[in-house]
Order: sequence, then C-alpha cells, then structure tokens
Amino acid sequence: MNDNVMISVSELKKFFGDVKAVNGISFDVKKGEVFGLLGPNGAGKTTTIKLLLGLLEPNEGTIKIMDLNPEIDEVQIKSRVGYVSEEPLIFKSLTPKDLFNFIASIRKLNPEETSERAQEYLESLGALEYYEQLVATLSHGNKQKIQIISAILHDPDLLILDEPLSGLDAKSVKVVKEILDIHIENGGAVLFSTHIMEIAEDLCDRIAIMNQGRIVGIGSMDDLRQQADQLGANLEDVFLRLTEQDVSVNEIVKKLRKSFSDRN
Amino acid sequence: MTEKEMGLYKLAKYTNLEIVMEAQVQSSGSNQARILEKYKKNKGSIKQQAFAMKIIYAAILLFMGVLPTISTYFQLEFKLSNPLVIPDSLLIPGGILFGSFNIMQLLYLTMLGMFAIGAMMSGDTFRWYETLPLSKERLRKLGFMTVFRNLDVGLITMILAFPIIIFVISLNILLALVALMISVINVMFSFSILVLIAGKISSILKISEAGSRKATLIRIFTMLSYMVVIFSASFFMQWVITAANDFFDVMEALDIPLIINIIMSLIPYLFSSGYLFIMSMEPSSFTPILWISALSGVGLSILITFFTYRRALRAMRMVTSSASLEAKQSSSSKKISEKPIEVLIEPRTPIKAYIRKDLSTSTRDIQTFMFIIMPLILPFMVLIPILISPTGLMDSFSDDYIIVWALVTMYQPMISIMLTTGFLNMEDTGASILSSLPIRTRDQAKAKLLLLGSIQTISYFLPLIVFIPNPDFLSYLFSFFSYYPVVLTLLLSMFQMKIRFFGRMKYKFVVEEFTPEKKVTKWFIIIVVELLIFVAFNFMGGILLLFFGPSMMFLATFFGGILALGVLLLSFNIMFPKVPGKRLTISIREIFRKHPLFGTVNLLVLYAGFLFLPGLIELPFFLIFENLPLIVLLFIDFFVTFGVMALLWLLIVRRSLGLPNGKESLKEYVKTIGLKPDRKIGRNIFLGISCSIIYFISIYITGNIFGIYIFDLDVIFGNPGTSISIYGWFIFILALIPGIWEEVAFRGVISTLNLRKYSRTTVLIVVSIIFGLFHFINLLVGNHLVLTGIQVIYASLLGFLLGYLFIKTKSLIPSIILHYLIDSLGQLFTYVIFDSIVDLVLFAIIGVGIIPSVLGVILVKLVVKEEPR
Ligand SMILES: Nc1ncnc2c1ncn2[C@@H]1O[C@H](COP(=O)(O)OP(=O)(O)O)[C@@H](O)[C@H]1O
Ligand SMILES: [Mg+2]
Repeated sequence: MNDNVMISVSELKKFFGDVKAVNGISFDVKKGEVFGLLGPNGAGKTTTIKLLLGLLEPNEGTIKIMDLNPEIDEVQIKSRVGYVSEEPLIFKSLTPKDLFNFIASIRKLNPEETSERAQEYLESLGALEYYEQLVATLSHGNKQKIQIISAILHDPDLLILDEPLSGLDAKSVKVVKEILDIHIENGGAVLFSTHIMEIAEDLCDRIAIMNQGRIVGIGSMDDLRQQADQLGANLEDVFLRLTEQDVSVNEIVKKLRKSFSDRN
Repeated sequence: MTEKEMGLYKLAKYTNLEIVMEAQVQSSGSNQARILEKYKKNKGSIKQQAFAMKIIYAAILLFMGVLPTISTYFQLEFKLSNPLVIPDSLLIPGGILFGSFNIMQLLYLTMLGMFAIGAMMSGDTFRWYETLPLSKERLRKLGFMTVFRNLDVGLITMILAFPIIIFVISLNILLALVALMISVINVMFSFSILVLIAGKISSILKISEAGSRKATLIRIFTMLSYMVVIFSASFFMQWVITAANDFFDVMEALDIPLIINIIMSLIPYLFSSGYLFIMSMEPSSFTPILWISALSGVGLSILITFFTYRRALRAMRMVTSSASLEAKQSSSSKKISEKPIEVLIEPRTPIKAYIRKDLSTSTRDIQTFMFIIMPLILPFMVLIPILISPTGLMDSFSDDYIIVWALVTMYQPMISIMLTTGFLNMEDTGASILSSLPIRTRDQAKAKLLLLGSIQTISYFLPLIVFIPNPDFLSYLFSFFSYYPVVLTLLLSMFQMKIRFFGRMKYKFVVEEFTPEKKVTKWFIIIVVELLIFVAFNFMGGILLLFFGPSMMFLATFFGGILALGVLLLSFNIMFPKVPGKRLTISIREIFRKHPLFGTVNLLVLYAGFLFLPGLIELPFFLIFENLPLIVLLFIDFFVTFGVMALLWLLIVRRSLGLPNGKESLKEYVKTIGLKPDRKIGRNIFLGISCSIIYFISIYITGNIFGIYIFDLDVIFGNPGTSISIYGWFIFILALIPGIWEEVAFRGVISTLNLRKYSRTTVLIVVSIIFGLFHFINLLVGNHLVLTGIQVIYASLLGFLLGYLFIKTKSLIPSIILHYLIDSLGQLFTYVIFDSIVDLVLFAIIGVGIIPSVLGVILVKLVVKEEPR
C-alpha cells in the first residue's frame, strides 16, 4: 500500500436496523490534503467518522487508517489521530485544566511541551480565561474550542473533525483554519465533515459529497464542477443538484416567503 | 393553603415530573434516545415512575421513622397502667425517647431527601420558569412546593401514620389529635431543614471555584462532614435510645422534682412534644403547671418551625434565581482573571488519571456522588434500626456478631449493582472525549474496578468501627474478613456481567454501553445471576453455621470466595487481554475445557450449590402449607429437585458452560454424555442388572458374615414415614435422582470432560475418588462424620465400577441402572445389625465396596469387546 495514503475506505456499509446510514462508500485520504465529507444532515457523515475510529463496527467493507484496522488496532490509531466529535460532549463536570491533564496522562505526553502548546492554543483561540471553569458552564463555541485543542494537543498525524466549525465565532474560525494549514504544511492529513458548502469550498482540497449513505460525487472542486452538468455554477448549486434537493429546496423557500408575507 | 398556593402546588407537579425525567435522561447515557422513545410510546410512564419512587420513600419513612415510636407508646402505656409507677417519673425518659425519635426522623428524611432532590436543586428547571411572568416570591414558593411534591407521599405518611396508629390502638381522640399536631410540627421542621441542607450542598456542587484541586478538596470535605454529622448524630441517638430504655426502669420509682420536669417540658422540639404526648395519655395524672409549660414548649416549637420554614423559603431563592447564581459565578471568575493563568500540565499514569477523572466527576455531579455516598450511608441505615430496636436484639444473642455479619452481607449485592450501574454509565461511546483517546480498555476497566472496589471495601468494613469498643471485636473482624472475597466476587461478577452484556464488540469488550438492545431482559438476567451467586454463598454459609458453627462457615465462605474470585480474575484477563487485537474467541468455557480439573472443581461447586437450591425454593412453600401429608411433601421435593438437576445438567452445563465438549444441541449433548440408547442397548441393560445382582449377593453374604442381616420387606415397601425406613416404597422414586443425575454428573460430564486431556486409567481413578469425596457433602445435611467417611470410601470403590461401565460401554445406561438399583432395591439388603464399628467398616469396605467392584469389573471385561478405535 502506498505510504501516502492515510485513510483508505472501501465498500463500507453500516446499517442501523432498516436505516442504511452508510451504504457502500469508498474513498482515500492522502498525506498533505484536506478531505471534506459534505452532505446534508443525516447523510451518514458522523457514522462514517465513527466507523473510522472504531467506535462503531461496520456491517461490510474494509477500513485502513495508516494501514491499521480500527476494529483491532484502535489504540494505536488513536494515539496518532486527533478527533473532534460532533457534539462537544467533553466531560461537563471537569475544567479544561482537569481535562488537559487527563489527556496528557492518557497519551503520556511531555509535560513542558504540552503546557506550552496548550497555553498557545488557548491564547490564540481566546479561551484562556475559561481554563479553570467547569466545562458545563461554557458556551457551545467555547466548548468546541476546548475540544479542538484537546484533539491537537499531541500533534497528531491525522485530524478527523466532525463539523468542527459549528458554533465558532468568525475569529476562531480563522484560527482553526490556520491550525489546519500548519498541520497540513507539516505533512499531516485532515478529514472533516460539514453540511455547509462554503466551508468545504473554502478549506478542502478534495470533497466527497454524501447523500443517504452514498457518495454521489467525489473529487476536487473542478472535478465536481465537471460532474455537474451546469458548468460554471458555484458549489452550492452543485451540492443542491447532487443531493437532488434543488426542487424541494425551492419549494420550501417559496412556502416560507409566503407564510412570512401573509402575516405582515 | 390559599387558592394561590393551591395553584402553585399544581404547577409544582410539572417541575417535579421534569426533574424525574431529567434524572432519567441524564443517567441513561448513550441511551437517551431510547428513553425518549419510551416516553413517546407511553406518556404515563414518567408519572408512574415518579409515583413508584414516592411510595418507596413513604415505606422507608414509615418503617424506619414512625414505627419505633409506636413501641415506645406501648411501653409507656404499660408503665402508666402500673399503679406503683409515679407518672411524673416517666416524663424524662419518655421525653428523651420522643425527642430522639424526632431527630431520627429528621435524619432519615434528610438522607432520603438529599438523594431525591439533588437533581432538582441544580436548578436548571427553574431557569425556564423564571422567564414566565411569575413574581420572585411565587417562584420561591414554587421551588418549595416542588421539593414537597417529590416527597409528598412520604411526608403525608409521616404526618398521618403516627396519629392514626395511635388512634387505632388507643381509640383516644384527644391523644390522636396531640399526636397529629406533634407530627405536623416535626415533619414541617424536618422538611425545612432538609431544604436548607440540600440547598447548601447543591450550591457547593454548583459553583466552580479557582484552583480545582482545592475546590475538590473543599467539596469532598464538606460532603464528608455532612455525612459525619449525620452518622455521629445517629450513633448518639442510638445510644440515647438504648439508655433511655434503661432509664424507664431506673427512674420509675424516683421522685423527680417538679421544676426539672417543667424546665424540660419548655424545651421546644426536643422534649416538649414528647412531654405533651405522654401527659395526654393520662391527662389527670399531671399538674396544670406542667400542662402550661408543656403547651408553651410546643408553642415555641411551632414558632421555631415557622421561622425555619421561612428560612428554607429564602434558601429556595438561591436555587430559583439564576441571577444570584450567576452573580456568584462571575465573582469567582473575576477572582481568576486577577492573576494571570498559567497552564501547567502534569501527566500521570493512565490508570491514575482515569481514577482522578472519575472521582472529580463524581464529586461535582450530585447524582454520581450519591453512588459514592449511598454505599457509605446504607450500612448505617440498615444497622441503626437493629441496634436501637427496643427489644434489644443485641442483648439477647450471644453471637450477635453473626447477626451483624448476616445483615451487612445482605446488602452487598445491592451496593455492587448500584456502584456498577453508576460508574459504568458515566460516559458513553462516541459521545465523549474518551472516544478520541488511545485508552486501553484494560487500563480503563482496571481503574474503574480499583475505584469501585475501594468504595465497596470501605462501605463493607465501615460498620466495624461501631464495634471497636466491643469485647468481641476480633470475632467481628474475623467474620467480616472471611466474607471479603465474596464481596469482591459480587462486585467483580456484576462488573463483568454488565460489560459482557452491554459492551461486546467484535474484537473486544468496552466499558461503555455498546449494545443497549434488550436492556430489560439483560438487566433481569444480570440481577438474577448476581442474586443467585449471593444466595449460593449465604445459603451455604447458613447451613454450615447451623451444623458446624461459625468457624466452618467463615472458612467456607472465605475459600469459596477465593475460588470464585480466581475464576473471575481469569475471565477478566480474557475479556481485557494484555495484548489486544485477537478476535474474541477464547472464553472461560474454553479454559474449563482446556483444564478439565479446573472445570471439574467449578462444576462440583455449582453442583453443590444446586443441591441446596430445592430447599431454598421449597422453604417458603412449606412454611405456608405446613400441614401437608408427608407423601405430598416428598413428591413436591422430588419434582423440584429433579427439575433443578435437569436445569443444571441439561441446560446450564450444556449451554452456559459448554461442557464437556463445547456448546451442543440437546441431541448432540445427550449423545456425548452417553444417555442416548445405542445399538448395544440390550447388552447394556444386561450389564447394569447383572452388576446389581453381584452387588446384592455380595452385601447379602458379607452382611451375614460381619453382622446379623434382617429381612424386612417394609424397608422398601412400607408406607413412607411409618416403616423402618422413612421413605418406604417412595425410595423407588427418590432413587431416580442420584441414579440419573449423579451418573450424568460424574460419568457423563466430568469423566467425558477429563477424557479430553487425560488417559482412561487416570480419569477412572481420579473421578472415582472425586465421586467418593463428593459424598462429604452429606455432612452438610447433618450426617455422622465417621459414617460419612466410610461412605466416601465405598462410594469411591463403587465409583470405580460405575466409571468402568461408562468408559467401556460408552453408555450411561448400565451405570444408571446399577446406581439406581443400589440406592433403591439395595436398601433391602443393607438392614444389617453390627456388634462393633469394626464390623461395620469391614462390611462397608469389603462387602459394599471391593467385592462388587472387582467382580463387576471382571464381568464387564468379559462381556464388552472393545471395538478397535
Ligand atoms: N445510533 C444510531 N441508531 C440508529 N440510527 C442512527 C444512529 N446513528 C445515526 N443514525 C441514523 O443514521 C443516519 C445518518 O446519521 P449521521 O451519520 O449522524 O448523519 P450526519 O452526520 O451526516 O448528519 C441518520 O438517518 C440517523 O438517524
Ligand atoms: Mg453529523
């Protein structure tokens, strides 16, 4: 297998009862690229990511993360991966301080280096003042910041981020983008999911558009534009077309307008 | 209540339900969706749950809080009717007793209430109410009402039970009214105190302070001091109540100066209500001055209660107003921002870090904290009522350490269940930071177990401190220590079952819930198995205690516990291997199969346990129908025992243990253990019968040589209970049990299992000896030691023949026939009278053992031609 391939997924399937959350997808993520999973809510992005981390067991298909099988070598994989989950459900009853200490202990990190890093990240994301407050009392965005820092504290080779930018303010989004850039420059790889086209367009080298458990389009921006027959359209249109939502979305928008004007 | 307040009371219903629901959803971890689904299907279920909780609280308060006072009433009644006793002399001890009961009620209510309203006090529910147009004052009252609604059934029970019971016993309306008044005051007072304490605790838990280690310490310290106060108060009360009982006798003849009684009766809450109550029992016996002072005392109590209530209402504002909370928070965060924050990270070992995380999580979240605190409170909740019971249970038994031991062991499964559920549900897969960390499940499980084990250990040994001054302390210590392996077994088995049922993945087990399907069924099985383990140990202990005294019981529980612990540690290592990654195939079953002797020991323990099970099942039945004729009892016992054995050998051993050859279908299994008739059925029956005949002839002849044989058909044909043998003809039915199941056990399963690894000769000898030794179990039902020893010898010898029959014919039929006929028809030949024990021994060993075995083996050798393998 190619040394450059960080994630390799083939014919992956995961069903929850009748729900085919992931229904036969294949893709690779290479070193030095930001790979985006783009899709509407319920497309199966989170499920895919959980499968990658061995948090769920696939019904069919194979996954290789840095040539390891997440079902078996979960611990090895996680020591080289940083993961930000969708819901910022870090322990609510801990403070970021407790949390970082916990993570450093589990990952057996170097104390000085890690302290320095944590301080740096906290400062640049503007979260230092919350360092000793209970996570439960933080706002959604601040929780998300703490979670992102938790994921990069150990300088991972691969970042897996599930909707990482939701709830962040504009400045923090910029900082996170910066962090991703540095990470890529150092030869890392990123896989992240989002349901917002602009973010994907902005950040990703390659994108897989997911809908109802399947990948309906994959490739760089240009590839995707080609795949859509409307050449020259922006990615939003492509996205809507590929997920076959353009008709229904228009319908909804029309209805919304009407109900609004009726009341006025 | 005014109409406005009624409205609030109704409103409080919703907050209360919200709290119950919130607690449910919170504690369900990854199963939130499922819980919500349940509520979607059955809208009433949340109400039912809330109601069930209320009923449980009410029952606890009734039995622990109210009923003891009734016994004091009887005591007083008895003394008052005695003309020799000066009524005034009863006031001091009576007053003290009632005062103590008041305080006990307060303590119980506080303990229960803290658990019940902890969730509510965290206040989130009220944030929403605050957005509604309700005045501060009404909001406050609403909080109070909500707490009240949570406990209302219990509180109402506490208020009404005392007066109603008093009325029913005494038919004295005045007395009942006084009782009612006292109850109302007490309950209102206790309730307000509860609100105050709970408010304090929740504010401690809520506010995040700078320097989290210090904050944690403060938190733990404060919580502990509450506990210490409650405990020491309980002990003090216990002492007071015991002392006051003696007081009655000491004081009944004394002339107490009136002034002392007047002063006592003026003391509100503590004594005045007791005084008033006692005086109301015989109003004419006491002077008016005393009446006035007692009434003033009660009046004072009412005032105090009122002010406490007001304070409680004010404390409620803390909760119901998020403004004040945020004020506190911002003030504390200001404190932080004054000095620059320095990030300093100090890594520890993963296990330590994990324990620290669990600990600090649980001290900050009242629900989890309760899982730590309850195991520490429970021992005292159980012990106190016993220690203080007026009948003086503790005095009337010389072996009271055994009673204490029995009581303490009683709730150990409960604590294991509580701890496991509490601490294993703390985080859930995929939804927490844990999912991103390279945690080895082994470390995680170890850390959890260390924490749980420590809590349960402390909880288990904690009651011992009460007995330190006791001269028998060493006996207490010894009894507790001997059961300690069982306590750990209970915890470890609970822990593993939970993970086995809920955390099974393809390649590993995880601590979190991974497969939450069929939750109810799984929990049912887990709890039943846990209780069975517990019952097995304690029932065995109880029987040993009955026949051999405490030392034997303690030895057996200790070593039994160690054995079980060994099995569980082994299974822990399999569940959480040091080197992860192998697919989960190897299992405890495989270990049993790979090490047949180890499997055999475990099978025997299980077998012994199941032998006692029928008694346990039948006991309640026989207690209810005590006058059944003997024959009915015999039949019931037969069917139950037969059923239990079938359950063990046909289902549990085959399916759960997968012995002897792995999990098999019933058909395969029956074939494996040789129960299935094969082509040689005729020859096999012939072998069984002819060996029996050899046996009969041998014991008939040797019986006549060594003693005097008596021929009496009544031994096997008489009516049960009337003849020389208690079974009579029933022996032909009864003997089916050993005939079939001992053969299945020792030949069908155990021999087959050992044949997997050892040679036929080894198996034959070893299993025969094990079979013989197993008869020592007859000691447990009270058989004579020497006779049992002899039995062990000849059973080993006969076991050799039985085993030989099985191994040679590969069928159980001959040995079952032989065993059955020995136990049934054979009785006819064993009615022999001996002059001396030596004759008996010679008869048993030579006549019953050696001769039939040797001749039988020769016969088998002649008849069975072995097919080349
Ligand atoms: N644990 C689960 N049980 C049942 N269905 C699930 C579970 N997790 C996800 N699903 C379903 O799988 C589908 C994909 O979900 P998800 O991967 O979370 O989508 P996305 O992250 O793209 O919004 C959805 O229909 C969701 O309802
Ligand atoms: Mg998602």
